[in-house]
Amino acid sequence: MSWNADPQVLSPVGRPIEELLTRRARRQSLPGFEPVYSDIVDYILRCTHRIWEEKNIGLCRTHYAADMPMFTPGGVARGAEEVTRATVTSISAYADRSPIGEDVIWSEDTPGTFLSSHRIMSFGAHLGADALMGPATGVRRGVRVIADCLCRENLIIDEWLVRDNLQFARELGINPLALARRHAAADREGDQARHGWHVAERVRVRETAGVTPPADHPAAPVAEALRTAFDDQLFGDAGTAVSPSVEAQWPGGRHVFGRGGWIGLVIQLAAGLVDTRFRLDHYAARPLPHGDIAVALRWSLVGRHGVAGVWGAPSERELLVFAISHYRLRGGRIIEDCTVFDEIAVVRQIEGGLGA
Amino acid sequence: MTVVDRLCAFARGDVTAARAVLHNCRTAGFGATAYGREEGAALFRAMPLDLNPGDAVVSDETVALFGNDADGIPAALFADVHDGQIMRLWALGSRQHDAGPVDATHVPVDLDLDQRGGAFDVVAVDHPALDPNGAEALRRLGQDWIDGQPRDIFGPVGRARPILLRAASGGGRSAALMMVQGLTPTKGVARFAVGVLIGDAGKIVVDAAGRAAGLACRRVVELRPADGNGAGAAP
Repeated sequence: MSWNADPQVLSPVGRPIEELLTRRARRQSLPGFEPVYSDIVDYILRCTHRIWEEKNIGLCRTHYAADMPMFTPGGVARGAEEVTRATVTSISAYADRSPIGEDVIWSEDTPGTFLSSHRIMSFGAHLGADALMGPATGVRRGVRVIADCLCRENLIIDEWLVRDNLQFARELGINPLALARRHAAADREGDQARHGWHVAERVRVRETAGVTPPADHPAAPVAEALRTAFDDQLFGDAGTAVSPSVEAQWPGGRHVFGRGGWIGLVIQLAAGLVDTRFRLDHYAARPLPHGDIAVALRWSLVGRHGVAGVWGAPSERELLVFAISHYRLRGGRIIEDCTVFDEIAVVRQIEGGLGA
Repeated sequence: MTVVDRLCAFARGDVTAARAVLHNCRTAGFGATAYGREEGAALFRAMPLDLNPGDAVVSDETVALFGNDADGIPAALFADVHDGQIMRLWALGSRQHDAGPVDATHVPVDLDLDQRGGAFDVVAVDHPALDPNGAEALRRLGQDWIDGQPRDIFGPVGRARPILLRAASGGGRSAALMMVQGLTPTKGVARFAVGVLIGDAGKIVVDAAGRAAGLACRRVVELRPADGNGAGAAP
């Protein structure tokens, strides 16, 4: 289907929450979805609200497939029951959790099967024990999250979730290196088969071809820019896809402006890795207000941590960086870049965790 | 109320105007970042701005307002808007919110990408509401800063390079929000916002609070430093 089909399904950008959560009649074909949902954007925003804010966490059982995988850089959760349990635990740690949606960029790759990319600033007071961040710090902060969901007949059948855990740790007053080392030490204990996804994923990213947007798709120049940068190290050429007015926010509080800034981000990520391979797994685009276009890319990098850089002395381990990026395009060039990857998971691998 | 009226009221700390501010509006100002209506309203209650609606530059996408803060020091407010809703705010002024700096990972940046020196880009397609006269005036101003680097605006920041983030024209005036970046002797890249009003009396407002907060921010250059404790010395 065309990237801008169903124009009646609006981006949430620029629309108040009161409007977004007002019930409305169905305005998109959603076979098998509950009548309460008017379109795929509404499905994502409303079910997030119902589960996380209305605290009807048991709705996970009617919104997640029984055996679905939730892929995160820190591990894989399996099935609606595990997702339900994890959500209860998470809300007990951050009782006032407020997942504030910034955008939902989606595609309908086959009729009735949607892939959504939901960018969120998730706020909550860390008042309970959290599986990753540890004991309560009492601090209320936000963390940027992007969740990609493959949805069919009201069920999420695959999910990929990335969170800027490193900056979140900093905001909570937690030393991110100490946090990563603690989890890496735990990773090295027990049944190593639980890291099977990471081991297999590093191989998959390195040895299999990803997807390529067609030339007339808005995501095409963006995807090509990342490939040109990471596979060919032609960072200047990659930068031609970027407006001189670009603003980019990457994990760890990285906030840059201008083409030189964007190139700096990409080079920093590439610099510590040797024999890098870039793989694009999904792309989507949707119209935004004022004629701009939102593009979502889900992508991964593998490379040997063989050079000293932002991640310190080389560990010689094969690393997986799993990322989702949201872009705003104007005139065919990137004018905003919001990229999320879990750098705690990267450092965890460097420290010998996650099967690395 | 017009969106200009709502912005002026919100910037005075009037929370009844907050309904026009989106639930996910990011407010950058006073050396801090606030998210949403309540946090944004709290910033302006603490540090209200007195803005002049007569100076407003309004387009379909942006609003720029100029005035003073509670100390009488020049201030400015830039907003991204859509259908009367306020999506994003930048408040430029001198007062600093005492939020405390948070570590951020430092990114090495080449500000010029060319030893022939940087040029100040005003790309029409990026700023469709900017008229040609406004664009030319901004181009001259930005290039003058690159070439002359007036110390009264930039202070100790060396090799300053402005980047145009928002620009629009309206009512015979043009307004621009720029991010000025420079290489400091000890802190790497420093940046601060500058608001420019072209036409009438003309104004330049520097986000002094943002500049101070940026220089105070601890920049982490290595996430696994040799000292082993993740402190990651700043440049």
